[in-house]
Amino acid sequence: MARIAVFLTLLCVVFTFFSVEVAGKPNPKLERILKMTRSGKGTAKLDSQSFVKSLESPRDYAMVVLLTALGDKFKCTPCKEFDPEFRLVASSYHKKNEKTDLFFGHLDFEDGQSIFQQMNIMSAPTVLYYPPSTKGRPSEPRRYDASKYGFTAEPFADFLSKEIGHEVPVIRPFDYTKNGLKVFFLVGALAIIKLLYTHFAFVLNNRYTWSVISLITILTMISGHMWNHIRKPPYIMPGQNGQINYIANGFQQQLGMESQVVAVIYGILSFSVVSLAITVPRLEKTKQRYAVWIWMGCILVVFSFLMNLFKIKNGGYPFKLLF
Amino acid sequence: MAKLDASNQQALLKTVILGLIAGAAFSSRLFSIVRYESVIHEFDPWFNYRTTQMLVKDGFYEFWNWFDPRAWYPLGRVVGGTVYPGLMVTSAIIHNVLHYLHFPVDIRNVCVLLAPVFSGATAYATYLLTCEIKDSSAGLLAAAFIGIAPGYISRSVAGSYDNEGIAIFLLMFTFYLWIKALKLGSALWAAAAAFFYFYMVAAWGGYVFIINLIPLHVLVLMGMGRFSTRVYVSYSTFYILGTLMSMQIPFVGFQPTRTSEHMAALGVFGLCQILAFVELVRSHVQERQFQTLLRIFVVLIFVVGVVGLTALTMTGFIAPWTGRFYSLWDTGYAKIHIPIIASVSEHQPTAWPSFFFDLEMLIFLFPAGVYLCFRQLRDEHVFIIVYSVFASYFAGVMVRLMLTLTPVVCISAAVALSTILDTYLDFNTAESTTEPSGQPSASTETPRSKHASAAAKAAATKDADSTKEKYFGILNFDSRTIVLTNFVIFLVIFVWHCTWVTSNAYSSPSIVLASRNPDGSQHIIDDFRESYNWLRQNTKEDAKIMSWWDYGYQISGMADRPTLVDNNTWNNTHIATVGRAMSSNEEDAYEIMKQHDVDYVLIIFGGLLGYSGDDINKYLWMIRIAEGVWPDKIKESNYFTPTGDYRVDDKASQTMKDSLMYKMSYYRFTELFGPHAPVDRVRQQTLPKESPELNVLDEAFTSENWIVRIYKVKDLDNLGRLHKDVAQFEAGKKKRKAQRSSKSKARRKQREDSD
Amino acid sequence: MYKKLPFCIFAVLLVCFASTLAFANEYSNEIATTIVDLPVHFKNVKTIRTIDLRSTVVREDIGIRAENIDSQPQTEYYVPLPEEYDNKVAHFTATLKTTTKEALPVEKLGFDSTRKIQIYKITFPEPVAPGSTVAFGIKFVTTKSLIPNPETIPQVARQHVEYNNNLFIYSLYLVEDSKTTVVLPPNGNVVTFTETTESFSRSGNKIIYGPYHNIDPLVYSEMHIHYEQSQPILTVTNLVRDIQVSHLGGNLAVEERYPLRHDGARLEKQFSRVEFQQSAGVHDHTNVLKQLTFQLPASARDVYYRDDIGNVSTSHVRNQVGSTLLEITPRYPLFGGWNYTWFHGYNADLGEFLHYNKRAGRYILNLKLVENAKKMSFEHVKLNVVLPEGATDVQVEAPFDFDGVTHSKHFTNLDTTGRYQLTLDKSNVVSEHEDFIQISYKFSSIHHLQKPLAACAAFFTIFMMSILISKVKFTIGVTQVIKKTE
Repeated sequence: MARIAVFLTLLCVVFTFFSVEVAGKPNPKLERILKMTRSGKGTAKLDSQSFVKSLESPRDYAMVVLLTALGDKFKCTPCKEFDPEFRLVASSYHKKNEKTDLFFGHLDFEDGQSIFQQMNIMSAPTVLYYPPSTKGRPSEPRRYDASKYGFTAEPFADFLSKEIGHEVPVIRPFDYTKNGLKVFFLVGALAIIKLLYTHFAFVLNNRYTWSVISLITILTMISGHMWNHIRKPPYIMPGQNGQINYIANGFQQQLGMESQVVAVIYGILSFSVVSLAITVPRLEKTKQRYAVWIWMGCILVVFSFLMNLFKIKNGGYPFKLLF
Repeated sequence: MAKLDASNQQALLKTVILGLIAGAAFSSRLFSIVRYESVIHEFDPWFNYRTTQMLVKDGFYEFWNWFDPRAWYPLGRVVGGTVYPGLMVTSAIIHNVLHYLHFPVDIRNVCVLLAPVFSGATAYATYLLTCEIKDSSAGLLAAAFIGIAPGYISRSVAGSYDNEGIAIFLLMFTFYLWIKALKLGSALWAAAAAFFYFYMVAAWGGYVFIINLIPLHVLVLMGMGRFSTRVYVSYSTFYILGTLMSMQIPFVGFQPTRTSEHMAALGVFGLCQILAFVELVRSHVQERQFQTLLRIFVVLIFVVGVVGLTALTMTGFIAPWTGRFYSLWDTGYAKIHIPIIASVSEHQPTAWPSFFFDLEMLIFLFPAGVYLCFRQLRDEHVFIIVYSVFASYFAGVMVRLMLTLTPVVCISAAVALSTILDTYLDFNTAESTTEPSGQPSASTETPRSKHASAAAKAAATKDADSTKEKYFGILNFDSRTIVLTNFVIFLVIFVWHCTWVTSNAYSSPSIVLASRNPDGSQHIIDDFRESYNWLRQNTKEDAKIMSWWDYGYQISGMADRPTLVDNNTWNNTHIATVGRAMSSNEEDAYEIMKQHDVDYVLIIFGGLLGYSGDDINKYLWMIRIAEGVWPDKIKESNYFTPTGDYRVDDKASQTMKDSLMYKMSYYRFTELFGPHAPVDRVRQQTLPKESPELNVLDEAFTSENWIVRIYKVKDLDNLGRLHKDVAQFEAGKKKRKAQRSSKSKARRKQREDSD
Repeated sequence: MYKKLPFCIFAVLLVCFASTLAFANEYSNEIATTIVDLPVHFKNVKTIRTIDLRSTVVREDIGIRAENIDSQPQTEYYVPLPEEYDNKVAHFTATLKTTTKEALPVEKLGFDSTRKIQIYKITFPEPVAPGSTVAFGIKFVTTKSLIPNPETIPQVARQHVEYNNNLFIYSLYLVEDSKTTVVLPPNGNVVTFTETTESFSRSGNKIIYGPYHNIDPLVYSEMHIHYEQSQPILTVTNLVRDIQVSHLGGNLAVEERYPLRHDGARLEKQFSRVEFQQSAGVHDHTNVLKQLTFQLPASARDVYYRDDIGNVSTSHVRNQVGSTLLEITPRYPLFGGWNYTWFHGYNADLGEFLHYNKRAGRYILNLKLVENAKKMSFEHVKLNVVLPEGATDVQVEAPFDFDGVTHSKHFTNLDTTGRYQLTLDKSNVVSEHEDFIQISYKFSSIHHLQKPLAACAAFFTIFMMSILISKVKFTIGVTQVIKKTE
């Protein structure tokens, strides 16, 4: 599949190249950018100097540059998320029409540190659109606010088509294998259920299944999972001088890890409460004594830890239990 | 006093305890009155207050078809038809009754104290509901919890005169009646539930929660094979009466038959009828095949029904989910499509600290309680379970829905805690295998195998033999003491926590700010009312005030002047117009303002005091909302620096500097600092030395701490010049005049010296 | 019904006729009093007149020595006032210039519509013999007689006002020797003033006209003074004072509602906070009002200061010997043309105001119509006095007369028969009216029991109802219900 795409791209790119040639004004810059586009499957992989080169005016083509940081040490999830979408738009653009009015550039932090610094860009990914520019006045870049419009291809394409005036397509390659598998598994699952229903019906009728399901739902919800789902915070955050923050400071902020920790804490606490209420009175004297001490101690410790955690989030919190 | 028998003693004790709880619930909400004064808080309450005043003054009929021309100028607003009247009617009735008894309480005080009073009632309703779930001891605990739980106090402190104040009581009481009706299968209780549902509909938009939760409960019961005549009778009565009554509220009207929010209820109602029919037939027909046929028939009908509903929705006969509700399911929806909803802070998702903040230890007793409900799975427990699951989801999505979660948390936490207390306080520990007092309800409540059908029976038996194995109760004294002492300590801490949260977080009426003087005494910053009162006293009766919609209700309530937009955000375009006027340059803004014949523009500016809730911080939302309607006129990106920062200092983008909001905020602000560099204390940025010049507006009033700034819109120039040119012309003239006047002064001086 | 019809018509006609007659009568009365020609029995041997312009309410003091030039003794001395001047007069008294300084009765005689003058009559206690003289003083207090000029001034500027009056005293009689002194505010800055050809002198903040000799009756020559008056010109449009007397609590609850208007020179442009803050040093040279002080009785408790939208935090209460000072700051500084409405109130010990007269068996309540009126004038004052439930036979004694005295009922906390409310109205009030009024009434202490009894009855009924409801079974088919529940 990808192969075909590449081939087509090459084809069209070469064709445009020749057409430009025929037009009889060899344009070294256009040539270079074409070459890079060709090599990068529709997305020119830039570094500091090629970035400057390909953007210096006059230009008769527009340029979209994705400034990103894919290196693992940055832990930039949105970068990784947005990268394929960007490439998708690029490839489908060059696939669809052999225009040479828009090119897609891709500058990673490793390659273009200097650029990042001189444009002092703090956040990645940053998408900048440079409209065509004549000699003398370089064109002011426009930024695509991914955090607002989303990290998917379609809104990005809309943004581009608004900027350059004609429609920028998004052709998502239809993934037969994946969907095929999906269908297969769905059917399979249905069949299995149909077959095993008689044997496993009691699982569905069993109250404990349902209690587990609903309890897990409740725990995830009350530990702020929906917040993560909507705000998409990083799982953990690199703090200063190397160590890693597991807890976001700020009352209305949280990290992915954090909410899971909280969920576990709640789980432990409620479980020990339940066992104090239900299991303990069914044990013999000595066992019972141990059980009570264990569970109660567990509650005390974990609860005080929870309060501590909350104190971290909310500085002025005056109460604490053990520590 | 004569000796009372045990039951009477209990009754007396319960009444006293409940009374105390109600008292505590009431008095713990009075922090704001003690600290500040008896005043209406925040924004929406001011509208409710205004309408209530109107209702008391002009009577119900006038209120019912009241068209308010002073809101949403020039459109106006049909208040009678676009408001949930329950709150206003309630307080008006209270007011009138008191006055009938020659007890002249000011309507303001009625409104201020309504929510605390009703919180007492809520405690009682919760008590009743929990008694149905477990027993009266759990009930008392639950009442105590809901009485002081911050999650509920946050919306019901004295002065926050809002729908939620009474709605939670109605919610609890409706649920109680519903459970009662379901237990007895009595149409009477169901009718009562329907009536209170109607009251709820009249009081709060959150009634949708009830009308989806109860059908869900019924559906789950069906799924568990517990469909019975009780369910049939109670639900049918409830649905029919409730729906008919709810349609009497003009604001609701035909929604129960036309919108998706209500379709679940309708579907379940239909299903009820079908199942009942099937049961009927089954009771008459013997063959086994026929039953299977019926099964298929039921499934078919169900499928057809669902398909039909969806089809109707597609064709548009049934309105799809409204944005506010839809954004509950598709959480990303509002952020992109309805910026107004997304811009409201209480529509944000909830981070875990808020949960702990609002429900301290209840939050982990909650799952335990739910689990205990699972152990003895009667119909009402099913209800609690369903309620908990969904409420916790909603509370996760929207902060304000924490309110609907709190009651169920209190109930199940109470169930858990009272189970513990029962276990550890039960001293008759017969060594033999006794009937478990681990579930003390078993003795008082109905043995569950009565009405429950197959599944439940199986469960019951299993439960039975699970408890057949030895049950000792608590044998060691030390175990009792340690557990009890610990939980008592937890409770004490819980009370402290609640008091602390209430007094620190939820008790400030955001129209008055408090600060501390150097000597520690409290200093009140009252700029809002200062300038609202100025407007009220010194502008003409029908002067139109343009401000961002947050302040609409306050302006109409306190300044009593017409406003362009206010907090009931029914018209996005109108709001966007204001946003555009604020965010475009002077000429365009002037044109817009003249089109809507605006007389004054009011903005909030915290730069001097460091008041962070000001308009510059809300500015991005104005821009976004305006951009949503005029993408070609307003572009959000233009207001950022090329590096994508939001700045107000000299690095700010030109569009930002030219925008009306920026100019109004910083007009002549820099002169305050004299030689020093002017600083915006909110943004912590150093401003450009020279103040922006305003041509189309005159500064009319600025409050003592500069929080509120009011500008008067200039009239059109007589010679039809642009105001900028006029200003330059004037400036030129002033110079000359200044010289002349100095001369004349000198002359007068000589003259006075001479005589 | 049909029989009655003609009678009805007749009645209606009768009424119309009567009313027309009535109007006719009034009209004729009007005509009758147009020309008041008065006998001239006196001549003013000497008049000394002082016009006090120091405050914003103008006070005019005239000392007169009049000689009876008639053949027989006279007791009536007439004072004419030009119409527009008469409209401004809030307070008009005459006193005899003897050791006793006894007040002379002043009464309105009538309006002369041809000469546009209002005529008052002063009656001496004993007749003045022919040829002998009598010395007495007249005092006018006039409001609204200062006109700011220029009408609009910049935010930081001095306020100037104009005052116009007669240069001589306006008298019905010949004035042989008259002298007028105009007292200006201390700094005494004058822009312009009438500089007559005849003698006038100016020293410090005084301008002295005269002495002039042999001024004919009813001569009016314009005197005009344009001077600096930095005080704000404050007018209370409609002061409402609610006073509630409670014998049981021994408490007097007072609430005063002030709609205040600043009649001084208005702002030229809009208000600018920067200028205000930067010019803080010179505010007391401008006409801005920043603070007001009210003197409350010494026993004043729980003082409050609110306005329509809630409590105003900027107020101080200072306890002094013999009185309590309430210093209030309006929500915003008050400039010319601006309004500010507020109300403040307090509780005071009833003992200070009420005492019981054993002989008459009446309670006597000592109140003032207005208080703290030094700095402002009142267009209209309404005083509501609420007496305890069961007060009867209420009478009012006042040194001046009211525009209206109304008796009505007022219901507050759980009243059954309602309290006695007395309402006194008076317009154009100045600080001279700050004088005691006696309100006397009968009250028997049995009425104290009224409220407790009512309450008891109410609670009794409530409990009876609850007993009934709890004991009586309303349910039908109890058995089934029980079966269901178990």
